[in-house]
Amino acid sequence: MKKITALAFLFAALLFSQASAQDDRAENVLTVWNMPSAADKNQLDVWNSESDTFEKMFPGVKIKGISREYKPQEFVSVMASGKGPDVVHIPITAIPSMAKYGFLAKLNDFTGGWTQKDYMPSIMWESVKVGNDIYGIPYDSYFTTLFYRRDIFDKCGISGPPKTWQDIIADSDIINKKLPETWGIAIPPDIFYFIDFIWQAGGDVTSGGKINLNNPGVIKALKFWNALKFKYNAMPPQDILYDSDIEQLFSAGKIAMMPGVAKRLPVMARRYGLDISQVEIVPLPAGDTGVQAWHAGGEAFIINDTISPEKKKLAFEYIKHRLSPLTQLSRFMRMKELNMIIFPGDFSCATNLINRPEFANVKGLLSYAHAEPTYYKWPMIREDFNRYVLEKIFINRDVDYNQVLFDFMERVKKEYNE
Amino acid sequence: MSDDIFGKVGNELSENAIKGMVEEELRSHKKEDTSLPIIKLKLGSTAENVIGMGSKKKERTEKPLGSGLRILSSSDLTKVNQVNVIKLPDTLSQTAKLKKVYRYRRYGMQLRDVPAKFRVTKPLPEYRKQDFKKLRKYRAQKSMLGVGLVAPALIIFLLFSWMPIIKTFSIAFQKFQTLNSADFVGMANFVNILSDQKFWDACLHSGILSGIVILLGTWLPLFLALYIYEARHGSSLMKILYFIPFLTPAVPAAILWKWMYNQGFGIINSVLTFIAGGHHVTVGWLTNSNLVLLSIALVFIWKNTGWAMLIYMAGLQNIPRNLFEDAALNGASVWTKIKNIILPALVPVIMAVVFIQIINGMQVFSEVYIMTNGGPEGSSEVIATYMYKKAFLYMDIGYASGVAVFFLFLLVTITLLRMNLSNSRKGAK
Repeated sequence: MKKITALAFLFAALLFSQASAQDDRAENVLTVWNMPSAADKNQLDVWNSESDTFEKMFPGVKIKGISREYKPQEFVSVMASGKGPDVVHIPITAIPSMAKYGFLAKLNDFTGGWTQKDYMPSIMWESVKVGNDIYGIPYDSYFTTLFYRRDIFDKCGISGPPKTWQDIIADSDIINKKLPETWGIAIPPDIFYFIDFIWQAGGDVTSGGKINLNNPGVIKALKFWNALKFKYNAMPPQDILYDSDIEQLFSAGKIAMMPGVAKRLPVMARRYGLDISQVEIVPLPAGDTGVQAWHAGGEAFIINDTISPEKKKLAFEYIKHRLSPLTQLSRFMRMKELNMIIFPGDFSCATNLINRPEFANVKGLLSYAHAEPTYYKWPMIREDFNRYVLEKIFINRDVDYNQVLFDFMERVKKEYNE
Repeated sequence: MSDDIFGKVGNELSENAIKGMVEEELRSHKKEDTSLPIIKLKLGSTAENVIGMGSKKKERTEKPLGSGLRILSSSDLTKVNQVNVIKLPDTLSQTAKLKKVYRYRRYGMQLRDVPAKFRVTKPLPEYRKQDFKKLRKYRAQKSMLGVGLVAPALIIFLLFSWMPIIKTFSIAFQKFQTLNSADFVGMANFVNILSDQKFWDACLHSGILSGIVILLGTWLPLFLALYIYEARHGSSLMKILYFIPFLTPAVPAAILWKWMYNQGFGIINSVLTFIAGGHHVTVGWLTNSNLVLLSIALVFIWKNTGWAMLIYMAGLQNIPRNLFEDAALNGASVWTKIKNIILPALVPVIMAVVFIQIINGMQVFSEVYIMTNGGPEGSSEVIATYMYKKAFLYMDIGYASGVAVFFLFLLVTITLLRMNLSNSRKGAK
């Protein structure tokens, strides 16, 4: 009897697992990641209402939301195992490598006849293209901006945010003199922020279609970062400050300015007790020649390449629904009702929410936005640049910039055949 | 004649062999209530070259059985007031004689030496064919039970331990264009590894890290174990306190230490500032290339001291207390006790801890990944983080598997070295 019961349990478990696996693969079920977690109740409400509307528009279709964010190693494993989501939004910087590994469906046929496509700025489309193929649909749009603490600026009698590199130096000097334990700015050794300074210095990271990080613009930007730390004492004396360190110091009022993307602010408020009301978001200061530049980032919807063509169509309909002006506006209204923190980047760049008065500070950011190279080895080169160049200039007062960059490019040539 | 034989046996046996036999005898009586008399070994060319045990008033009542051998009585083995006398034929080799003596002492008379008239003559029962079938079925069931009990664990072990290892071996010979299409590239990955400076840097860093771990992670737990072993009060509490870090998951521990090490507002620098009388100390524990490996090793040691200490404690418990008491009576100092009693007795335990620490030290991942991610300037990149980055950041899965295989061979070599060392030590004994 015991044996029979055990066998029955085993059989039932097998049936259940098979049934749930079948359910995931069913043509009328769309598995979508990025569902907000239950802890984030308001966001989850908004997400659920959008899914419900889609299910009403397409009777018989079911959205299976999974509260899971993109993490490279997890994403690679799950996609390689054939159990990846049908739809998910991932950082646009990850698209070239994920497309290279054959996980992402080509979307040219879908986007060709989509009118809303033309309302999205071309720079966002550049970020999701590999060659002539489109692998993602821009979901949100973020720009690197400058956060500054109004309370510290007020205490020091500084009237407005810095507009140029020289202003950063001058403001930091005032802040450090007035408040000895407070520094002007802190920047992590991360090319994510450094690339903006390269563009502001008139340089670029590619030339002739290849990665080139040994050019006058890069050297100028490196010199400026090194001088901020060692010559002007604008940065805290620590050798290296990583993102989390800077966020803590900024939240604690130990530094007055930091580069960042707006969506980090709620995280900083939650983790480090940042008073968001004291923070202003402004465009990054212009370089010494007056060039304004920063980069456009964000996430893009992708469709799993392994699903059937019919399901891909359905997935695209879901993406269209999520990005439609009607859904976006409803979401904005709902978020307002729920008193949620709203950033313009949260909404599709196809909407005109950026024209709202509360987003005046960041209006026009797109005009000066650049895109990072969509080369699949770029994430690896970025990592190496952080390690072997940027960390070096923060640790060493005297650096032979030409030599450092020459060595780095030799490494890139050798390792990445660039 | 028998005395002559025994004289010969006695003369041919080494003193150590006889001592061994006597010790065996002692051990076999260890749990009996009867107290054993003093054992006297009679060696050399004395008249009575016998292995004596028990009373000196031994009477030689036995008669030799030609070239055969016999024992007085099997029950004599347990009687402490008589002496066992075993007579052996000349034709036997020394080893055979020893075996015989041992068997007789241990088990009494062998069956073949029982006279024929006392042997059981009752015929064996006859079995029917179906009985054999039943027997076979019973045997099969019995053996299947063992298989059934082992199978689940074995399957899980093979599936989650050996399958990935085998798969890693096969991937190490491939180059992935996409994750689902790989090309066989033979030894190319391994050839590239040999000329990969980053890999050798990572190996060097892992080696340095392991070196620090061996230096501090072996001796600190030993001294703590000694201290707790000798402590009269609160040793249990101390054991728990030292063991708690081992129970802390690696990730929160690494985050905690990252904060403590923070150059600007970490508690370690704050304490140092306080000690320095307010002079601002800003040691870059995790940002100074020369300090970073030491800082990571300290976290690792902090975490692993507990278990190493417990292993040492177990080793210490095995050292007979009377050795310490004798040493104390002879006025031995603490250092003499450590040098002459504890360290020699703990050598196998120390070696085990050293090798486990080496292997653990080479496998460090979480601490490095969370605290420095290989920085600054790659000075804390270790093999495990390098492998991870190659696989998931650089997406070079074939190459990462090659590194893993290389690394596996390294660890297997260390393990074999350890086994060889312990075997040779046993051999020397």
